[in-house]
Amino acid sequence: MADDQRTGEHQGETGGTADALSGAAARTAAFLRAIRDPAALYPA
Amino acid sequence: MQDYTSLVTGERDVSGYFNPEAGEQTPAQRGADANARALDQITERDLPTLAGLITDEASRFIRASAECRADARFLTSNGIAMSVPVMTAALLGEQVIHGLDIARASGTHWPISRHDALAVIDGVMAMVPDYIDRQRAAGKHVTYELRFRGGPTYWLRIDDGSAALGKPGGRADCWISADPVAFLLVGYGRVGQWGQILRGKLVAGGRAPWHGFAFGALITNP
Repeated sequence: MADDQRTGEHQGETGGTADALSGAAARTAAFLRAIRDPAALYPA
Repeated sequence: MQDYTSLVTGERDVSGYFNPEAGEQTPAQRGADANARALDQITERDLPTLAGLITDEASRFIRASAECRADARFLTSNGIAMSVPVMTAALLGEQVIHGLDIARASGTHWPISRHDALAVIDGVMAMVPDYIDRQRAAGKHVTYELRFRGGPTYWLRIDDGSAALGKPGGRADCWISADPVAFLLVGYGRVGQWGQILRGKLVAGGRAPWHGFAFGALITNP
């Protein structure tokens, strides 16, 4: 029970940042998929 | 992200991250070593595939970390034991900062929201004392009040090469009023501080405001 309570508090504390991380990852992924010239990212 | 997920699930032994021949290293140096190793190991260059890996790994980390106890700490590749909130904020920082790097390389725009910047700062602030440049901070005794616009205020005490966070209160030697995005970009070494100062995004005051100009140099880039 104590562990459950602790995890619940923790999820409340972290939830907003986790949502932001999820959103940022999705944004990065969409951005990568939209890049037309991948060579620009890997300069010789 | 994969590294952090494997740490919270217990799949990885962190001792493998460190270079035993490197001697005494700062967190920034350990982090740079770990990044270099990760870049060597990740040979995938197909952007849609990498995009899928990013979202998959973010989901894995969020799921795995939700199972962790609030007081759990995990020794990470930079040698700092982090809580899940700090790890989450650090990963968010990696996304927004490396997203900017990619955008710059491809000649496009990458806006960073104040909300994301504050979330990153709120998490990684706990690590700032570990990232103090001990040589530059040697002999200095300064209390900074860091006021983030639209967000919280922190106190950071520099004491002869070491640093500690404290609760706001009393008079700081120097306060810095910072736009969160500008502070993040300067802190991660993506823009110089002087342009942000000229634009009013970083403003210092207090009884010894000149310490504000030196603040950035006291922190090593993550």
